[in-house]
Parts: sequence; C-alpha cells; structure tokens
Amino acid sequence: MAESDPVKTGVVGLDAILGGGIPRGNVIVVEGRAGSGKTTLGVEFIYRGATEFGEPGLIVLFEVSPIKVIRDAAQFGWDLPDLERQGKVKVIFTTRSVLQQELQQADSLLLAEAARIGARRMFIDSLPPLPVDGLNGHDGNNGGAREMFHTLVQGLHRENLTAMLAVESPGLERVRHATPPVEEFIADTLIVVRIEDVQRAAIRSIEIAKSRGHHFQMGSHSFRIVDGHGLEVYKRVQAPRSMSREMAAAYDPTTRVPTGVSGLDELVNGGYFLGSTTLVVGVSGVGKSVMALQFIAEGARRGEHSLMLSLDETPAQIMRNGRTIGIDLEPDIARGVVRVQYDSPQEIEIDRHFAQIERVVEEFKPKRVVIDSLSTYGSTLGSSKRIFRDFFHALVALMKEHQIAAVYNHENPEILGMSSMAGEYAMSSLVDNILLLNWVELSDEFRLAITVAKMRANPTKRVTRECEVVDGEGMRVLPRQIPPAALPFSAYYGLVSRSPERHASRAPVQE
Amino acid sequence: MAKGPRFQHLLTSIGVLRHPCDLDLLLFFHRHPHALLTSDRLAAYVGDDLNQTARSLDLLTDAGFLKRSQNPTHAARMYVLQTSGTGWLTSLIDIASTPDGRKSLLDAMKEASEAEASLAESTQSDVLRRTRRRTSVS
Repeated sequence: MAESDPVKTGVVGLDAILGGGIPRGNVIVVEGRAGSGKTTLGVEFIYRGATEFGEPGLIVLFEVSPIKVIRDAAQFGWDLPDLERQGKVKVIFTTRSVLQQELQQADSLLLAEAARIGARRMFIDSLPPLPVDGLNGHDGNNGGAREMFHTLVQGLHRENLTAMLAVESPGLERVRHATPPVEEFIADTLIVVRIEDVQRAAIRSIEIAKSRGHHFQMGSHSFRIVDGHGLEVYKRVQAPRSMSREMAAAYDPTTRVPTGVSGLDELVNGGYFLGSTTLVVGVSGVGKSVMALQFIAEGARRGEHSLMLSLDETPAQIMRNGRTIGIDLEPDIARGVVRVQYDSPQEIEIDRHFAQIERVVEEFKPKRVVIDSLSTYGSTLGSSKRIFRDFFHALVALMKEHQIAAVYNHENPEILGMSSMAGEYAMSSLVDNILLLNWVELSDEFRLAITVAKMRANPTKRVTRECEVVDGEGMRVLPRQIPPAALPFSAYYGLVSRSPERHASRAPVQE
Repeated sequence: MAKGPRFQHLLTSIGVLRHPCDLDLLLFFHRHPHALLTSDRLAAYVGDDLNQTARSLDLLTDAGFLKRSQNPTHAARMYVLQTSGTGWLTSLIDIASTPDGRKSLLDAMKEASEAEASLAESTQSDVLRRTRRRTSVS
C-alpha cells in the first residue's frame, strides 16, 4: 500500500466525513468523557485495519483489562483472540510510565512486538486529560504528563505507526479554552466524541475538531454504537452535499408523473415533473394519506419503483388503509416495486434518519417517493426550526439528484380554511408545487376542497375544486360542474377563507 | 467428590502452584495474557511482596506457564501467558471466581504445601536414620 494512501478507519460513515481517511502517520487523539465511545472507536479502528485493510495493529491498555476489552469486542462480532492467533492483532497491558520508557528505547519491547506482527496501527487506551498549556505548567505531574505525551508522539512518528490515542475529557462538555490543551497542539487529528442530553434522551455525536493534511467535514455528526456491528456515523444533515446534488434542480421539463387521483392530473397539467417537490397541505383526516397511497399505487401500476416513508403509521396500518380504498400494496411489495418504510418519530436522530433515507434511495432507486408527514418531523424536532429546514433542504436535494417525484404531506392545524400554507416552517420557497386540501363547511356538511396553490414552471388555474373520498375507490376530484342536488363550489366564493358565500345571482360556471 | 479432594486433584494436575501469589499471578495473566510490566508493578497488582512475586514468576516461567522477555536493560518485561484457553486453567478460573472457591483453593494449596513439606521432612529424617545405621554397622 502506498504511503500516501489515507488510513481508512473502516467505521461506517466516518471515512466519508474524513474525506476518505486520515493521512498515514497522523497521531489521532480521540477525546471524550467516560462512556462516550472512545474505546469502541479505537478497537474498531484496529479490528477493521486487521480484517479489511490488511494492516495489523496493537492495542495498548492501561486500565481496562484485556479480557474485558476482548469480551466487549465479541459483542460486535469482533473476534480478537482469533486475530491474535493469526498474528494480526496483539492486545498488551502495560502502564503509562512503562510505555513512556519503552518509546524512549531503541530496542523497545513494545515496538518489537509491533514489528513482529508488522503493525501499522496502534490504539492506546487511555491517557489522562492533559493540562491547558500555560496552566499548571510547573507542576511536576502536569509537566510529566506533557512530557509523556511528547515522547509518545515522537516514538510513534519514528515507527511510522498510525496511532489513535484515547484521552479522557473530564467534563460533560468540551470546554473551548483560549489556549487549547497540549494534546490539541501535538495531535495531527483530533476527534471529539460526546454524549449529549437532548430532551431526556442521550444522543452521541462525533466531531473532527482538527485533522492535518486533508479535507474533512466539520461540525457535529451523530453516531450510534450498534450491537453486533460497531459504530455507525451519520453525517450531519446540514453538511454541504456534493455540487451535483445541489445543482440537480434542472430536471427534465417534459416527463410528468401522473398522480393516480382521478381528475387531479387535469389540475396539475398531466402530473408532477420528475425531480419536483410537491407539498400536500391539509388538516388531519382530510385525505392526504389517501392521495399518497394512490400516488404510490399508480407508480406500481406503471412498474415504477415507489417508496413510502412514514413516521405516522406502521406498514401494517398503511396496508389496511390501502385496502379500504381498493389498493392492495402487498403484491407490489412482494414483486419489489413498492417499499413501505416506517421509522418511529420518538427520539428520532435526524442525521441517522437522513442517512437511512439516503441509503434506501440509492439502493431502491425509486421514481416516486411519499413522505408522510413533514409535520411529524416538525413536532419531533421540537423548537429546532433550523434543523428542520436543513433536513428538508437536504431531503429535497437528495430527491432532485435522483430525479424523484417527491410528495410531502404536511398537516396544517386549521380545520377550516388556511391562513398559511406551511405554517411556521417557512419551507414554501423550497417546494415546486403546493396542493391545499381543505374542508369547506356548506350548509350542514363539510365538503372537501382541493386547490393548486403553487406549480412552479407551470401555468396553473388557481381554482378550488371539490373532491371526495369514496369507500373502496379512493379520492377523486369532481368536475367543476357537478350535477347533484347540492350547489357546486362554483356557486360560492371565499371557499378557502373560512367564510364561503354564495354568489348572489350567479349561475354555476359551465365547462 | 468432596470439595477438598476436587481442588487437590486440580492442583495436582496443575502441578506447581503452592503459594497464593502463584495463583494470583496466574489469574492476573489470564486477564492480561500479554503484559509489559515491571515486577514491582506486578507485585502491587497481586498484593504481595516483591521477593515472593519474583519467586512465583520464576516458578510459573520454569513450569512453562509463562514466557517472559530476557532483556536486562529494560525495567519492564513482556510476559506472555502460554496456557491460555487450556481446560485446567478454565476450571481454575471458574473456581477462583467466587470468594468461597478461592478460599478453598488456597486451603488446598496450603494442605498440598504442608504435605509436601512433611514428606520432604520425613524423607530427610529417613535418609538421616539410614546413614546413622550404616555408620554404626560399619
């Protein structure tokens, strides 16, 4: 392997954030408080190196006994004793002072062991927090710790080992000192792992605070420690994506995707564009999910891969709902044309959630996607409107890059009429089409209205049309002129303003 | 089999363990199969004095349970357990993992050690007696 090749950690998602890996020979400091995941990250760095990249490694422990590290690694499926037998990994227990002495000796026993297995990586667990430079500098212990760190780093450089050092961070939060701790000066790569309390939940995050010699994604990214696997890092949704994704808005202006709702295509000029973003807004129970199911079923009928992502209802509930309007998705799911994916909105980690969507989109390659619903994201993310907007922006860019006609359901809290299309989330500018589903109270009944409020790059008649959801059939948009006993909508004005009034002496519009 | 004889049997099959420090070192190296340590640090870990720790380390090394680096310029030595995963060691760990089991093991070791000492003593006096008899006959 060329020395210029970056060292890949092999941790899911981490190498992408590191721009492909860490420059070989960098001294990596992983800083975090107890339980933040430093040891798991370090052991995985060694395990992946040995098993996936042909780079044997040494694990040097000071406090935790090797037998416990081996036991914990086994929970992730990492068989360290087997790798020891194969001479790919060695777990050595020692003390900090011995390590320091060893690294000062040309015939170091430790480095001899490293050389014997051809080690390219080393993980040292762990060093105490080092003093802020300039503080306590004359104190014997702190001076010793600093000296030890210097010696350690010099020894590692000499042996050209890519080493990861776990450093205890004493507090809950990493304090930004005016003068940073000494390890920040000496380390080539500084990774900070945290556990943050978010609304009584604990969320893990990882930040590349510094890394010499390459480009990396800054900011705080989420990660999880997954049983049977190890770490999974999810790039923060706010992180800039590739330019190709951001530039993908120039979609094909000719291909349209029919909606599957009888009469609606006529209102939207034959369907939504590929790569377009459509927001369907309405109060709970107005028929947004019915429209969504018909959109998915229409895709399946045409043999187009169609994906429904739901936070509101489980797949079983969605199937049941479908059957009540004559849609049976099960055969389409069985033949791989339709996928229904549910994620619980409870304690959602938005980075992980987005990574899952990204993965399913890249793997399943849908032409149609329904997200049901955006408002659930809004309520789940609480007061973090900025996070919601960043998430939505990333989602829109992802769908556009893959030329997907995406429909987002959004619950508007107003039962009658609408004073705002997207409520407090100010996302209207990001969407191409907005459809309003609205109850209209006429006489003693609520009747359902649909209004195309926005259609980017399309001539649109902003008329409000009546529609209905029929048992066993689903939703359909009624002709503008309807012949029932009741008067058609065209006989009224103010339908969406909560106070519809009948035209005094106007006959219904004839089409 | 009663507790005592069972432990005696295990100790007989292990062969060399006689002092609590021998057992504690073996258990320590089970938990730390590759250890780079100074002997005073090891003595502190097993809670025994330096001389006894050194004797026990020699004993385990001579018995082939342990391999250690032989570089006099280093304060620390690399100790590598040679018996990792063997059946008797697993049984020993199982027994020593409870306070009662550990106590019974130490008792059994003490008994074995005393029996050995008394055997050595009787052998010595036997030899002495025979020597005296030979001297008087001549």
